[in-house]
Amino acid sequence: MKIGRIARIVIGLAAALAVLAGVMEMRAREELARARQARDGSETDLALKHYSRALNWYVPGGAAETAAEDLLELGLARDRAGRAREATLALMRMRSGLYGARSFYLPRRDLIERAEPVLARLRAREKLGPEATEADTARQARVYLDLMRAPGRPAFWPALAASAGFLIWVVSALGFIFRFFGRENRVAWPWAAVWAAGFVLWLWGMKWA
Amino acid sequence: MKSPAPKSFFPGPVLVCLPFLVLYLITALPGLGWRDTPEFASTAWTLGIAHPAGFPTFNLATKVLTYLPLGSIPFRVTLAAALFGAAILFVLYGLIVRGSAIVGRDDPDDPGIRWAAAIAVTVFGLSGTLWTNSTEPEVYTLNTLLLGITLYCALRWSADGREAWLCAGGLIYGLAAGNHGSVAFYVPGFLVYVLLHSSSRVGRNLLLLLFFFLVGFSVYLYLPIRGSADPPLDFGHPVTLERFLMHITDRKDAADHFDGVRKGHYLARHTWLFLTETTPRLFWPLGLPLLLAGAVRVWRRDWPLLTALFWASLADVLFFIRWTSQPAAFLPAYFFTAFFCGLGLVWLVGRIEAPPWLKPTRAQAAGAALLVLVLAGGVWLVYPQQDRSATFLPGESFRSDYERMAPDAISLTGVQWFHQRAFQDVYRLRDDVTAISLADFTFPWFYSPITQARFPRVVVPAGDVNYQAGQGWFLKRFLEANLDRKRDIYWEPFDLKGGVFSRHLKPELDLLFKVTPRPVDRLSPEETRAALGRLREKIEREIATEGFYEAEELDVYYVLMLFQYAFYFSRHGQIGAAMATLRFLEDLYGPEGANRMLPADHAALNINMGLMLASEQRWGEAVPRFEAALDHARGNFRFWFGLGLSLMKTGRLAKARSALERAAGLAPYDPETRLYLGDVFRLQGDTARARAAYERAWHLAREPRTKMEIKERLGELGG
Repeated sequence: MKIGRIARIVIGLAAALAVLAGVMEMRAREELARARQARDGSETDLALKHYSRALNWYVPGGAAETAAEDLLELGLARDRAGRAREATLALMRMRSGLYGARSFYLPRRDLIERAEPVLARLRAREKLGPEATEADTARQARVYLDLMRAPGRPAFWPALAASAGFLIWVVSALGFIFRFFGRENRVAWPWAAVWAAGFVLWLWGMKWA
Repeated sequence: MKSPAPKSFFPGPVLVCLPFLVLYLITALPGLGWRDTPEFASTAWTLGIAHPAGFPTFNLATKVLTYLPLGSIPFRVTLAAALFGAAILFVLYGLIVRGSAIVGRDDPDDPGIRWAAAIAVTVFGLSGTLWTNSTEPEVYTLNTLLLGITLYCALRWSADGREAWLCAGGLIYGLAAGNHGSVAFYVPGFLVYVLLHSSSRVGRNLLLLLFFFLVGFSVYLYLPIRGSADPPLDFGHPVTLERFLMHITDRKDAADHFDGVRKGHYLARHTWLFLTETTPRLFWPLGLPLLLAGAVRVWRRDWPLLTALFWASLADVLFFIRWTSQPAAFLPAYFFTAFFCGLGLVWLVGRIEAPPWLKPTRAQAAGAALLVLVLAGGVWLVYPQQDRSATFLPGESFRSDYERMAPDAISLTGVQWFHQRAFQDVYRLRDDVTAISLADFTFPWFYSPITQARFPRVVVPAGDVNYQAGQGWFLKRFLEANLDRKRDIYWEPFDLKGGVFSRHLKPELDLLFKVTPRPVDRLSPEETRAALGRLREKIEREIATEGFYEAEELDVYYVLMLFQYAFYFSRHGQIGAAMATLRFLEDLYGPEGANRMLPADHAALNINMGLMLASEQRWGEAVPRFEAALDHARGNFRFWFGLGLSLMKTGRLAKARSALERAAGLAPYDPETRLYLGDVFRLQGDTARARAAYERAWHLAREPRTKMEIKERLGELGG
C-alpha cells in the first residue's frame, strides 16, 4: 500500500473520530441538561438516569466529567440529608460510570476517591442495620472499601502486551510473507524476528493479564 | 504540442467508506446490547473467554480499541465493529476493482469501474444487515472483513500466481476461524478454488496454505492460556484438551447446529421468510439482474470462484437460517452477493456506449450526482430505523434490580448472566455481589465448574460438582451452605417449570426471586398481587419512556421470564395469577401487542393457558387454546390429549374421540389417554369399545390410584 493512501486513511480515521467526539459531547451536554432539570424538579431517579447517560458519552474534559461532579455532590447532599438509597445510587452510578469509561487511565480518580468511603459506609450500614455500633459499621465499611479499591482485572500492562503483541505478530507475519515469497529477493529475517518477538509478547501478556 | 488529457475524477475507496464510518459511529448503540453483546464487551475488556468457540481473534483485535478514551467500554467495542464494517466496504471496493478483469474489463484504472464499485459499495453500506452489525458489539463485521481479505488474497494469487498472496490468504483465514467457527463450513469452497487454480505445484500450494492457516489458527492458544489465568468471564474453562475441543467445536449447542435444515418443515418456512422478507425487497428488481449478470460473467471466466462463493454463501445461509427474521443475519452471504452485483454493474457500465455529446467531465459529474443521490436518499430512508444511539434500555433494564440487591448478595443468573458480568467486569458495579451462572451448576462440563478459587466471597461446599448436576445436587448444597451464613441469594426467573427449587423462591425486586431457607408452601394473594404489580409497572414504564417495543430481542428475555413467573404462580396454586401473567405476555408480544412472539412461544403460551383453564374446569375456553397450539405442532401428544379432554367435557364427543385417538397414536403407552378414550366411548354408548379402552388403560397404568379409578369405571360398565 502506498504511503499516500495510508496517509489518506489515517487522516480519514482522525476526521471520523473528531466528528464522533463532537457528536458525543453534544449528547453528553443534552443528557446533563436533562439531568439538572430533573434534579432541580426533585425527580432524583430521573436525574440519576440522565446523569448516567451523560457519563456514558465520556469525552476527556467534557460534560461527562461535569455530570460525575454533579453526581458526587448529589450523593453527598443526599447522604447528609439521611436519604441513604438515593445517596448510594448517586455515588454508585458515578463510580461505575467513570470505571466504565476507563482506558489507559481512570478518569476523575479524585471524585472516585471521595465517593468510595461514603459508599462503603452506606453499604455497611445497610448490611448491619441501624442498631449496629459505630465501630462495627466502620469495620464493615473497611471491608467494602478494600473491595472497591482492589485492583481490577485484567492487569493493565500484560493486557496491553497481549493485544499489542497480537497485532505485532499478525502484521509482521504478513510482512514476512510478502518479503520471503515476494518477487524481489528482499531481506525477510527482520520480519521473522519481529514476528517471533510479537508472538512471545502475546503469550506473555495473555498469561499474566 | 498536445494539450494534456483532462484528469479523470472518480471516488476512491477512502472517500466512499468514510461517510459510512461516520454514519455507523453516530448511530451506534451507546452501551450494552442484548444477547451476546454484553458478553463481548466484557471479554474484550478483560480478555475473557466467550461462549463457544471462544472468539479469540475478536477479543484481541477489539481490546486495542478499548484503550481509546472515548465513551464507555462497550461503546468502544461497538466502535471496533463499526470500524470493521467500514473496512468491509473498503475491501469490497478493492474486490470489485480487482475482479473487473474477470468480467472482461481489463483496465483497473478505468473510471467506469471505479464509479461502478463506488455505487455498489454505497448500496451495500446502506443495507440494514451491514448497518445493524456495525452498530453493536458483535463479531460478524470482523468475520466478514477477514473473509473479504481472504477472497482478495485469493483473487490476487490466481491473477499473478504470487505465492505470497496464497500464504497471506491462509493466515487470514486461520484468524477468521479464530473469530467465528462457522468459517469451517466454507473450507470446501475455498479449497476447491485453490485446487482448480493450481496449474502446477499443487502439493506445495496446499502445504503452504495449511502451514499459514495453522499460524493464524494458533490464535486459539488464547483459550487454554487465558483459561488458566482464570479471567472473570471464563465460559467453558477450556484448559484441558477435552474441554478445549468441546469449546471450539461447540458441543454444548451441537443439537442446534443446522437444526433449521434438519427439521424439514422449519427449513421450508424459514426459506420462504428468507426469500420474501429477509432479502430486501429492493434487491429483487435492482439487485437480482445485476447479481445474475455478474454471476454469469464470472461463470464464463472463472467458474471455480463462483462455485466457491456460492458454497460459502449457501453454508452461511443454511447455518443461520433459524435467525432469518433477524436484521443482522447472513452478512457474509450478502457480502458475496454485493461482490457479484458490483461485478454485474462493472460489466453493465462497460456495455453502455457514451453518446458523443456526453463529455467525460459531464459523465463524471453525472456519476457524482448519482452517487450523492443514492447516499442521501438511502440515509434519509434508512437512518431513522438504524439510529440506535438513544437505545439505553439493554444496559438499564436489568441494572436497577442488580443495583438494589442486598449487600454481599449472591446472584444466580440465567440469561442475565452476560449483563451482570458486564456490570461487574466493565463497570465495577457492586463489587460485593457474587454473580454466578446457574448453568455452571447444572452443566459444569460445558460451562465452568464452581470452585472456591473462582468465588472467594461465598461458601463453596466440598463435593463433586458433576454429581447429579442436572438435578441440582451441588446447587442445593451450595444454597444451604450460603443461606446458613445469612447471605441473600437472588434467582433470575429461569428454569422453574420442572425445577425443584421453585418452592424455595419468593418474588423480590422487579424481576428477580429470592431464595428462602424454608419452603414457601402457599404464596399469599397479597404477595402475588404485589409481584404482578411490580412486573407490570416496570414493563409499562419501559413501554412509556424507554422504547420497549422498539428494542429488538428484548422479547427473548421477557417472554422467557414471564413464562417462568406463570409457572411459578401455577406451582404455588395461584392459577389466576399464572393466567394473568400469560395474558399479560400475550398482550405484550402476541397479535394484540408487538406481534412478534415466535410460533413456538405462542404454542407454549396456548398450551399452558389451555392446561390452566382445564385445571380450572373452564373447558370451553380451553378448547380454542389447544387448537391454536396444535396449529404449530401437530405431532405433540399433550396438545391432542388436552384438546380431547376439553372437547369431551364440553360434550363434543365425536371430535373428542378423534383427538384422543390421535393422542393415543402418539403416546401408545399412556394410560390416561386410554382412560378418557374409554369415557368417550361410554358416553357415546359404545360399551364394548369403552371396556377395551379401560382394560388397555388398566394394563398400562402403574399408579395404584389410577388403577383404582379404572377399576371403578369397569365396575360401572357392569358384566
